[in-house]
Order: sequence, then C-alpha cells, then structure tokens
Amino acid sequence: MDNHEKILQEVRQALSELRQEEKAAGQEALGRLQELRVKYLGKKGEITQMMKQMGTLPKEERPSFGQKVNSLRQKVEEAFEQRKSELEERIKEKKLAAERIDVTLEKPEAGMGGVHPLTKVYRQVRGIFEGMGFQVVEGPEIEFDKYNFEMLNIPKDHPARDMQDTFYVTDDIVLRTHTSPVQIRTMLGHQPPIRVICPGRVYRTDDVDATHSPVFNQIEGLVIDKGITFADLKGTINTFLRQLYGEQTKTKFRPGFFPFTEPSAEVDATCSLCGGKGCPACKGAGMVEVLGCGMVNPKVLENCGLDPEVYSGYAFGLGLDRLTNIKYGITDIRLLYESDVRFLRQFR
Amino acid sequence: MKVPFKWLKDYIEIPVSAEEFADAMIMTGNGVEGIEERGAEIRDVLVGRIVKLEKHPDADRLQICSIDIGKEELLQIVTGADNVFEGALVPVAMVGCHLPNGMHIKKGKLRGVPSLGMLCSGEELCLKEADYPGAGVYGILILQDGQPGQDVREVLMMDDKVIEFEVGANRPDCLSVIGIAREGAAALRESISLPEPKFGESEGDISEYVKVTVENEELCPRYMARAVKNVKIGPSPKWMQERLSAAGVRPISNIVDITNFVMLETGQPMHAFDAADIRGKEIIVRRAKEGEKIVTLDGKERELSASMLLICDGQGPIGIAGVMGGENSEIRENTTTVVFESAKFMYGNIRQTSRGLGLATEASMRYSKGVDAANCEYALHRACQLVEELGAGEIVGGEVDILSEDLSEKVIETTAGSVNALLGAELSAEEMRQCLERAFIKTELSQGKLTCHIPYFRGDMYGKADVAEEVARIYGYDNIPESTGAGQMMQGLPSSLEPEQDALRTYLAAEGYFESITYSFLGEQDFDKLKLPAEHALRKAVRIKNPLGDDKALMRTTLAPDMLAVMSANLKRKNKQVKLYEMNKVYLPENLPLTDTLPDERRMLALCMSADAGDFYAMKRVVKNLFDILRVPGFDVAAGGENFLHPGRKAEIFAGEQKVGQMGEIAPEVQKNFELPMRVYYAEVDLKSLFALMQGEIKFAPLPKYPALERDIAVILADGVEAGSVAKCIRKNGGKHLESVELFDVYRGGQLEEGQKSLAYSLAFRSPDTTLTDEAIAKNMEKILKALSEEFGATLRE
Repeated sequence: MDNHEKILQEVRQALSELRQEEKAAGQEALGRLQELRVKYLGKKGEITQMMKQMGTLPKEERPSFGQKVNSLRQKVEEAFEQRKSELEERIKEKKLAAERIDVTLEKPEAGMGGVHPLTKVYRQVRGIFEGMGFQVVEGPEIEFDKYNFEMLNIPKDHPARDMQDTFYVTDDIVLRTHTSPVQIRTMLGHQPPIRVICPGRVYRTDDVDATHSPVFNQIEGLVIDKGITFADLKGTINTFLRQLYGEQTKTKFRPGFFPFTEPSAEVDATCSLCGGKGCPACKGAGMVEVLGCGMVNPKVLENCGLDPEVYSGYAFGLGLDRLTNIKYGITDIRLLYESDVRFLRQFR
Repeated sequence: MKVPFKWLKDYIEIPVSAEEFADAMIMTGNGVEGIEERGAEIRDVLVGRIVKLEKHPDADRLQICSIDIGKEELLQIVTGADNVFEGALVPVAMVGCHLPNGMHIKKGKLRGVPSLGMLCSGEELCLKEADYPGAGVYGILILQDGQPGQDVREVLMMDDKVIEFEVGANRPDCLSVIGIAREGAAALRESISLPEPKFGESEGDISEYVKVTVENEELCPRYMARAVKNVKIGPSPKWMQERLSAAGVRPISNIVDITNFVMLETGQPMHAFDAADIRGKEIIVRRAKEGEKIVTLDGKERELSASMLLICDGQGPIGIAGVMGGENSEIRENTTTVVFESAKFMYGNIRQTSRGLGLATEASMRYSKGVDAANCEYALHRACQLVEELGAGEIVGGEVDILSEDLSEKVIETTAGSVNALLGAELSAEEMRQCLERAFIKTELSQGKLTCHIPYFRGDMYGKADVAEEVARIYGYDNIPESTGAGQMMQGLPSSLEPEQDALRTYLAAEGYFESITYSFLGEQDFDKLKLPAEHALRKAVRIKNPLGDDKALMRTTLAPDMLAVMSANLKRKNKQVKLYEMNKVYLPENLPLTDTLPDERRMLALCMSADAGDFYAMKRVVKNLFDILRVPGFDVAAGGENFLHPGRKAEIFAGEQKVGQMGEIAPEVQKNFELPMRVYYAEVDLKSLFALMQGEIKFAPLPKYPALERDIAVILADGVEAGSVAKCIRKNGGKHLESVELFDVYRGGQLEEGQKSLAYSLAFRSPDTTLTDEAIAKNMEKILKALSEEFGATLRE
C-alpha cells in the first residue's frame, strides 16, 4: 500500500467524520469542507505538493508517477464534490423545512362576495333568450296609466283593474303593475320585426308577507312579425323552460285571461324541486305555475298603430322572484329583500 | 265563486268525480281555487232519538238519556245540556270518534253512571247558524228530521263537495251556477238542461203597485220589476236551504232566499222590496245628492256622494243601486206584497260606489264585474217561477221593463284560415264549428267562412281573435303543435349597459361585496335620519297617493337609507365584516307634482362597508377600480360631500371636472340614527353619468423605447395640505416628459416642527425619442420645487 492509498483513505475518513459532526448542517459545515479541500488540494495542499515532487524523479518514472497522482487528485476531488453537493442539498432541505406553513390556516377576511340570487337567475334567463335572438329593452317604473293600462286594453274602472292593485302617483301616473307597458313603448318606437325581453321592477299594493311583496320583478317578452302563431309561442316557452329547468321538464298550457292577449294561457312546469313527484313547494301537484302568455290582442296592436291583418305576435310575462324561489326552494319571498349576508352568501 | 257539486248536477250530467271535473274545467280555462268537502271532519256522528230521559241520581245538572241509534240496544249517554227532551233527534258522537273541534270521544262515567258517547252542539260540529238552523244555539243541536242511525251529514245536508272557481274578469257570466254548468258541459261534452221559467199571472197589474222612472239611463240601461201579492213569509224548502248553505249564503226566508238563489243560479243580482214601504208607489233611479244619507240593511248609516246611483221612492232613498238595499224597505215577517227588482247597473259606477263606501256585497261584486241586460229578464222570470213553486205568493200581471240598451245579437265572421293562422294549427272548419257549438256559440259554415252568433252572456267576445281563442281552448291548448320557426332571424343582445353592470358586479364580488336588493320606497323620516336640511334637493321625491305606510310613501331619491338599514340589520346579527352594494334606480322628478314628464330614473351604485372590513382608503381603491373597469378617465376626489357623512372623512368623487358621487364615513349622529353598532363607510356613484363618460374602443400605444429617469423628492409643508393637491401641482409643473408621480412616504414628528409633515414622491420622466439626462430635466425639477414653495410654502427636505 503506497502513500496514495493512504491519502485517499485519510480524505475519506475526514469526510466521513465531517458527516458525523455536522448533524446541524449549515454554512459552517460547508466552511469546514472547504478547509479540508485546501489541506489536500490547495496550493500548498498535500496532493499539490506531491505533483511538485515530480521534478525530482527520473525522467522515465515521471509519466507513471504523474498518472498516479492525477488519478489520486481526481478521486479526491470527486469525493469532495460529492460531499459538497450532499451538503448543499441538506442545507436546501433544511431551509425549505423551516419555511413550512400551515396551509389549513385562513386569514379572517370576509372572502368572496356575490351577486344576488335574483341577478343570478336573471342572467340565466337573459342568456337563454339572447340565444333565441331576443334583445333586452327597458322602460320606466313610474309609468303613465295610458301605457300601463289603457293601451293594454284595460280602460279606467274596468273589472280587470281589480287583478292588479295599483299604487297611484297621480290620476294619470302609476307605479307600473307589470312590465307590459314596455310592450307598448316598444311597439310605438319600432317597426316589426320585434323580438325583445323587458326586465324590471313592478309594484302592487300588497302588504309584505311570505308570499307577497309590494315590489317584485318581471321579465316581459314580446315578438311581433308577420305570421307569428300560438304554436310559435308554445315552442319558444317550452324551449325556454327546458333550458331553465332541464331537458326532462314537462309543461302544461292552460287557457287563462289577460286583457292584452287573446288567446291567453297560463303555463305550468314540472316542479324543479321534486321532479314532478309532488312536494310541499308545489303543494303536492308536481307542477307549478311559472308564467302567463298569449297572442297579442289585436286591439293592442291597433292601439300601437300596427295592422292586425298584417302582423301578429305573442307576449309573455315571467315572475323573476317566483322563478328564483322555485329554483332554489326559497319559501319566503321576504328573504330576497332583506339582504341578510347569511342568505346572500349561499348564492356565491 | 263557490259552486256546490250537487247543485251543478241539477243542470248537467257529471259522470266523473268532483276532482276529475275540476281538472277538466282547468284545462278549458276555468281556474279552480280548491275543492271543499262539506262535513269532511264529521265522522261517526249518527242521528239518535232520545227515547227516555232520567235524572242522574247523584247530580242535579246531569241527565241520563237512552238513545235509539237504529240498533236493537239503546245507547246510554249522560248529558249536562238542558235543551234536550224525549223524542228529540240529536247528533250522537260514537265512542272512538274525533270531532271537528279536536275532541276525542271515549267511554266514560259521569258521577258513577256509564256514558257511551256524546250528544253534540252545533259548535262542537263546527257548524254555524248559516249551515243549519239551530247550530248557533247554546246547547245540543236539535235536528229537524232524520232516521235513528243515519249519518248526520245527510241530515245536515253536508254530504256534498263545493268547488271554488277563480272567475276571470272577462267571464262575469261564470259568477253563476248556470255559467259554470255551461262551461262544464263544454269541458265534458255533455248536454245541459236549464230551467225554463214559466209561471201564471194572477189578477191585477204591476202599475197598481209601482211606477218606475230611470233618470240616469247611462248608469242603468235596464230596470225590470214584478210585483208579488198575498205573500206568505216563511222558511224556504230544504233543497233550497241546502244549496244556499253549501254556497255560503245563510237561508233567511222564502222571498229573500229566492232572490239569493236566483242570483247564485243566474249571476243576476235581485232585490226584493216590501211594496208597503215604497212610498208614493213609485221608484226613481237617480244619482244621489252630495251628502244624502241612507240606512242600509246592515243597520249602518251611509253618507253618499253625487256619483252614486240610488233607488228612491216618492220620498227618498230606499236602496243603493247594485250594492245594498235600505233598511226602510226590507222584507219582514209580516210583509204581504213584494216588488222584485232585476236591473243592470254599469260596472264602473258600481265599482266606484262599492269602493267609495267600503261596502262589498255579493251583488256589488257581480255588478262591478258586469252583468248582462238580457239576463235580467231570465232572472226575474225565474224568481217568479220559484215564488209559484214554493207557494210563497201570487204573481201580479205585467212587468216593468225600462230598456235603453241595444240587445241585438252580435255576430262575428271569420275564416278557418284566419283561425289557423293565429293558432299555427290545421283544424278543419267543421272541427272549429264543433268546438264553438260546444261553447254555446251557434256557428254557420259556408266555404271555410265561420259566422258565429255570440250568445248574450259572452260580452267578452268582440272579434276574430276571440273566436280563435274559443276554438283553441275547447280543442285543447295541449293539442296545438309547437314550433319556433316563424319570424325573421334576429341578433340576441343584452340592453345597452348590462355588460358594464355585470362587469362591476363581478369585480365587486371579487372584492367581497354582496349584492343587496331593497324596495324602492322611502319615508320623510329617512331624510330626517340622514340629517338632510328642509329644502334639500333629495327631499324632492315622487309621492305615492295610496302608500302602504308613511315609511313607504316616497319613491327613493337616494340608496343611502336602505343601504344603512340593511347594514345595521347585518351588524346586529353579529356579522362584523360586512360589505354590501346595491345597484338600483333612484327616481328624480324634475317638477312636482308630475304631469307630462316622468322622473329621471337614474341607476346608482351604493357601496357600504363596516369599519371591521376596511377603511376609507380601502373603499377609495375599490371606487377607483370601478372607473378603470368602465374605462372612465380622470378619477379624482376632493374633500366634501353631504352632511350625513363625517365632516373630516368625506369626499366628493370626480371624473375629471364632473362630480359623479361621494364617499366617506357615516357621521356619528347618522350612525346612531340608523342604529349602526360600529363605524361604517359609504360610497355612491351615479352610474348614468359614469356610463356616459366611458371611453370608446381600446387603442394600442407603442411600448416605451427609452428608459425612464427617476427622481425622488421629499418636501416639508403644513400638515393641512392635501397630498392630492401636491401631486397635482407636481404634475402641472413637471413638463411633458413627467410620466408618473407616486407618493411613497408621509412622515411627521422627529426633527419636523409641530404642524408640519414631509411628503416623499417618486417621479419618473421619460421621452419617447431619447434617453433623458439629468440636465434635460433640471429645469423641470426647479419649476416643480418653485411651484410647491409658492403654492404650499413647501421646502425641500435635505
């Protein structure tokens, strides 16, 4: 065993001892490693010194001596490199471990807010009708009696006025009782083809309770063109309800009465909560009334300067509050207007 | 309209149950509110005959009854009632039964004597006097007839179902059993047999009894009358009482019951006067004099206005037309001569009168919805027929008939093509004719043309669309096909500013704000709570004439009160970090009262945040971001705003020079007024103005090619100077290359004197054409410092 082997052994020994020592690995251990490296591989290091001895050897021995020393140097360097990278890896790991956080903690901030359920359902309804080519138009809530009633074929003192208990501002101005006056404004302002929905607030003199609200929201629809039929109305409403409540939704059109449509219908749809089996929300019927509709009364067309022999059309009115309550199973309409964050949070 | 099922069966065959019948009616457009089973809760109550009554040996007040209930053995029951007697027929609740009032009958002993059931009072069966005579009496209900052992419901005439129909304003004819029977016949394809009024006339002439003058024909297009003599007032027969009770009308006496029966049967209200009380033997139909008075049948004195129509005799009012008769001419036990009135009064007028007096009756309800002049005659004759049938009196010859309405038949012509074109169906003309005939519309066919003879009771039918509707509803809406094809293809679009509103909502949700939606109403007290001065512009609000209350009498001009009320409610529920917004309209009238110009309905955005959720600057950042989302340039604030905000913590919000809102902390007094348990921040922005300031399409600007030159300066100035004004001054004097000004430090104390502060800004200069040098901006820096010194007395902090 020559000197070389001894040195290699020595280095390995030293490195191994280093490993034992530096349980608490860190910059210090890296420093110690560097010291050792200098001891062997530095300018005055043992191996470097050995190379310098080469000059003293006979010429023929120099190549093999040089080879051996180089080989030794290479092995020692490898040992140091390996140890160094091990150490660096350990340091990195320790640092990461020290930076560990509790990911399950939360900062006590309020978190996400959200839109009101009425807005949420409105957006859905609007999306469906936009897809069917409807434009959204709006009209005033404080409205002329003329538009809210008279031009819709509901003259003053007509029994049909009893259907809608009205807030009056003056004898000729009311808080609109439905979004139907927007039909009149649209027909007066535009030539057919007309294909619009009109969302908005409406008012009735109902005292507040679980099922009544003096303020609620409707979405009116109006289509006027040549050749529009009751069958088109049925198709449009059915498409809408199936998109809103699901493909399996069944509907039922019952004859109804609205002064501004003729024929008129009320539409029931499969209760979305029980899927038609019957539940408290649909009073066991399996179906709930969702909207009113009909073919625009020729008198209304005439009132708006349209010739009923040329044009026909349909109109429908949805109660957004009702639709929302049915969709989410809300049983008290007051919740929609109390803005209790415990309520609103559920619709994020 | 409550329709007893048995009564309906007097006119049509109904081969199905009441429930199936109701379903069929719904599908032809007759809404059903519900079906009530009369006496449904009275079970195991039998008719019993008291065979023997004995005193209880140990209790003076108790009696022991031996009762025949149709079985071999008599039943022994102990009772405390004292109106029982031997031979009386009484309702006997058997052991084990539950009475409608909740009582459970058990075997028992009263003072040692076994009692196997209970004798019932009307009250224990939940009956009222209107349901059965004697039911309102204190004590055991004494039955008028019945066999021992019979189900008491049969005797009580309660083995019937009553269907309540929801009658549309277009079909007043269905406020009658006959009207519903017609609809039933149409729905079930059954034939109908209606009473054909026939009666004999006895001696005399109506003119000997009464002369009628109608002064206001525009309000009374038909007035008919008949006289009945030798009247014998007494109870009406059981079948009539049963029908009235089931329909919810209390039987009174034969003559009164006839008028009520005919009204329910035909829909035509009838009135009976005691002829002896018609002073001067004349009836005058005229408008009331302002302030004229009458005591009505209910014993109340009513003060009338000039718009109301009266029935008067030679001396004064004896009834309010179409609403209620007068007490002075009512039918009494000793009435011997009666005058029946069957008239048409105009719906608008009766509706106003009924509302004006706050007096609604079965008659006024029907008149308010419209009655038909042709039906007056049928009803009057039907009443006479019933008088004869009941033997209640003799019909005097002749009748009064003052008619000013045209009763000629209405005919509507249409074509099968036109009906199909509206329905989108392919029915043959013959199929249409059959549908119409089923709905009692006589229809002739010739080459696809339908000539429809509209019956008098269908006042709702005017034109072709009405014919199409009749065809459709009888044919069945469900049988009409579905299509979506017709009409020109159109582009679906949201309304002009919905995408912007949606963008704001999405952002606010990300910032932790919840959307609040509240009513549109306010009260004066809300303005007071906001400390708005008396003549403040926001107090100019649209007032509702018939509000639900003082606190809901105005249309809101600001969202603040609702926002604060909602915040208060949430904070009281122990929510600490609350952020809310409402995006809704306020209603700003130009002039009051409103005439031809409707108010400006302006969409506003209000934000509200509790102090635990953030401070003024947090809210300011959100408001600034709203501007960025809408691409409105020039966000700025300046101290100021309404009184409801904290005087030292409020700001007006500007877009460039235009004021678009305000924000700040709620003033302490207002915080107290709205019961807010902690400080609250509020901001409101006028979205209508903001939307108008949105910039057009985005245009790309090239990225800078040359580096920016940065300079930091710190200046010392008085504490009261606003940082915003300092930044503005720097920008104004920084020259065209000044790209940005950012405040990075505010410092007070240390070497600085009391009342001073240091503001440190980081400035960046950049030229699009070259790399700037210190020399190039030296003049700008000089100018900035000079301006700061002149404007604010600022000195450079070394």
